[in-house]
Amino acid sequence: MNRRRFLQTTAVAGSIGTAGCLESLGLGDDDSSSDVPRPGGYGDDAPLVQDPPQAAYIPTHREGMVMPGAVRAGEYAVGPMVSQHHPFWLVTGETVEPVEVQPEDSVHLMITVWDPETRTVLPSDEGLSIEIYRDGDPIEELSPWSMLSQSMGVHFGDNVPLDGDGTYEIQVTVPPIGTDKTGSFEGRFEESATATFEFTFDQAFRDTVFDRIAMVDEENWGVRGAIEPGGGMDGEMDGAGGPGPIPFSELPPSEALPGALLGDPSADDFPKSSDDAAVPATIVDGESRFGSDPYLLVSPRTPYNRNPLPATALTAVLEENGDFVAETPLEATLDDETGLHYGAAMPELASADTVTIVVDAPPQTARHQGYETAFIDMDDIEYEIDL
Amino acid sequence: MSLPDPDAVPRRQFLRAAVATGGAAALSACLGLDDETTGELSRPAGVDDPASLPARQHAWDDTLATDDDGNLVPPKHHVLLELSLTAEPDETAREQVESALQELESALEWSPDGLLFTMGYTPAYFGRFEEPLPESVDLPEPTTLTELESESEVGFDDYDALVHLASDHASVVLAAEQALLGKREELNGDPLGQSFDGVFERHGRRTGFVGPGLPREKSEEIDIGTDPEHIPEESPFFMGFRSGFARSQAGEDRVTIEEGPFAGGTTEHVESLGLQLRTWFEQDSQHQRVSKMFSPEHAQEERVGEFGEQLGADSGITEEIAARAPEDSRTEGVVGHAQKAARAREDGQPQLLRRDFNTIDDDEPGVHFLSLQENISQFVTTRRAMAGEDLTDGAVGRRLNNGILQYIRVERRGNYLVPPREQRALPNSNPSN
Repeated sequence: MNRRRFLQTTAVAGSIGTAGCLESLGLGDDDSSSDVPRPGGYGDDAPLVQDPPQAAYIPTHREGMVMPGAVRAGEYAVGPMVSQHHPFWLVTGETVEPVEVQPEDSVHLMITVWDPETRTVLPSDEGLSIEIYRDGDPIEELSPWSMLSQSMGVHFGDNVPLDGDGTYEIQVTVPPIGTDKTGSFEGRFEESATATFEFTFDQAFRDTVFDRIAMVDEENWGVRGAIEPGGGMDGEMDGAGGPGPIPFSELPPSEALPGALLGDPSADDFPKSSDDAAVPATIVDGESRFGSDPYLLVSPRTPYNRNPLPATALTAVLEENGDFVAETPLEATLDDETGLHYGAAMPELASADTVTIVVDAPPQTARHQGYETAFIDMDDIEYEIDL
Repeated sequence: MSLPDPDAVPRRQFLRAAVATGGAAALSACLGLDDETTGELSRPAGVDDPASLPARQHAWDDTLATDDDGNLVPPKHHVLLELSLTAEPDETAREQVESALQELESALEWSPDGLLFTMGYTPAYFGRFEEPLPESVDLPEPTTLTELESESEVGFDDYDALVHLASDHASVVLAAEQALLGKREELNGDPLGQSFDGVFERHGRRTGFVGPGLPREKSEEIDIGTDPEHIPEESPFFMGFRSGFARSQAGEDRVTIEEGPFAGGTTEHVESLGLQLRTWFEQDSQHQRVSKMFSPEHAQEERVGEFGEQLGADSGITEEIAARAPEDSRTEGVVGHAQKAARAREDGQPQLLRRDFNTIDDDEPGVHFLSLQENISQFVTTRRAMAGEDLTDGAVGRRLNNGILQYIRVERRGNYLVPPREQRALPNSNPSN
């Protein structure tokens, strides 16, 4: 593969928006560097921020992508995105390990799965499987990682070796979703479905991907913040027709969550933050799609783009006057209006004055550049219940 | 797949390719290496009196060697011969099948230096009889067992019978297969008069190998998707770790059917899997691999070593570690494969006797996961424990950080009744005494 060098790091192929970076400067005093390991060779194609802060930070660029076109498969809409191979990080507990680009890797293949009716991205790791063929010959078979990216949101992906230039067929099988589902999602997504795409890997493809790489001004590299979603999301597709464009996986703003919001929206530290994740919480009372008991709804998200944080283990501890009242693990739940949140029915909410959200394990989803140093070492979040 | 040039590759590599290819040409070429003078097998002879052999077809363990830690060493080479019945299972056919099997037993010693084998029958085979199987036999039709398997993708074994041939010598399993198919006139110096020809025809075959050094050698013959050097030289399995520890295996007694007309038999499940070794070796670190294969505690306390050399006759999966799977899925963000499977132990005892082996069938790295248990339901319970679908409420996903599920794909499943030796030839579904 003909790799091209990035000769000028300050040349901007098309400047891209950065969300919240200027507003975020000065939030928090701790700009300590993260000690998450950096990968070694990434080729000469695109740099990495070498000394990022322990927070969501603006990367050096947004990857260029080709989108072969979304299709419906069963109840799902499935959209592939293909970009240049690039490093990412795997999370196991609180250990973050880099995945190096390998010489045989050809592309980074990503899949977004969403509900075509509500255009809500479905982020749960239910175990997609991908089979890649060329002229009917099997080339690669893999289960992609659950991943989190500033520009591509929640998706599934991996670096994949191909077998030279040619036209490839990709089959993606989406299993039934076992995560709890509420609202109009209840009873849906209970069958697996397979979607098939084609894309051509050749010099024209590589040129397009390269041309679509959008560099960030170097002065913003590593600054707390995030690049805006884009590069084709919610925009033009390369392929024709289907249920596209691919929606971005943003959650509703805190104020739009159902129920009574905990904490004071006018306060500086609202919503409360844990290792840079924003963690608003509400209590949904009375009869609701979550049941008839008071329901604690916790909606952790990335601080700028409001991406959901999947694969997280949370427990809620209730207290009154400093005394323990109750403790419950929170269940990951997919709701058509709220998206992915973590919740539990807790009748004891009526008598508690404090809820502490304990992070048993931070989001285990793999991270793209800009998210690998945040949402790892997550302290408890405490809200007063004052309703 | 064609055979490599025997002069160009090391002997062991050639033998394994021969087993995978099968056929008379493979066998002749294979035999040429085994005995340069006569071109025939020269293995220990079998018995004159078949009654002297164990009553259980699956009684192999007494013949196996043990390693330095006291674990049983499985035979190195395996063939699974899939058979379809082409004649009525009447008395004539029964006698022919029994004779053919007895000829194997008289030609070759019942040991890994000779030949070990079992013959099992599918629910489809028994479905041809009017009477159902007795209640003492739990043999359902194979189905998908977990949410990750879809009906359209997994194949089910619905032919009639499966012969599992095993030996430390590739030439033996190949020759035995040929003998059963009626393609040989002698075996290990004994003339052959009988075969399955006319009663069974070959529906298909699967092959494999297991033992220290073999996966690494074999990985150099096909494209396993990653550099073979990732597999530790001494690893007996493709994924790089020892398995089959003495204390993690049920004994033969435990998996034997206790009552009814098939007492002394066992049930057999064969799950054929493909392996995704590229991501396993190139993306996960050793720490992550140990966490996912054993448990997060094993990784944190560095109990395993490079390929399990630090584990003796015990995987180290205690009841406490198994019981901690739900908690680990929340607090560690990962659960181990062995940790999950051990939850299916009964009274602290494993229910399965695993005789699995690696494969490069279809030029892809995989495992034929063959398990013996008294009831198929015990396999199902253990396989579901291993799938850990009940552990996905927190940080662990259905594949993400959930044991080794990210790296395996189920391709086929089959259930078999392996009758006691006296019922092994075309049994009725409910034989009278």
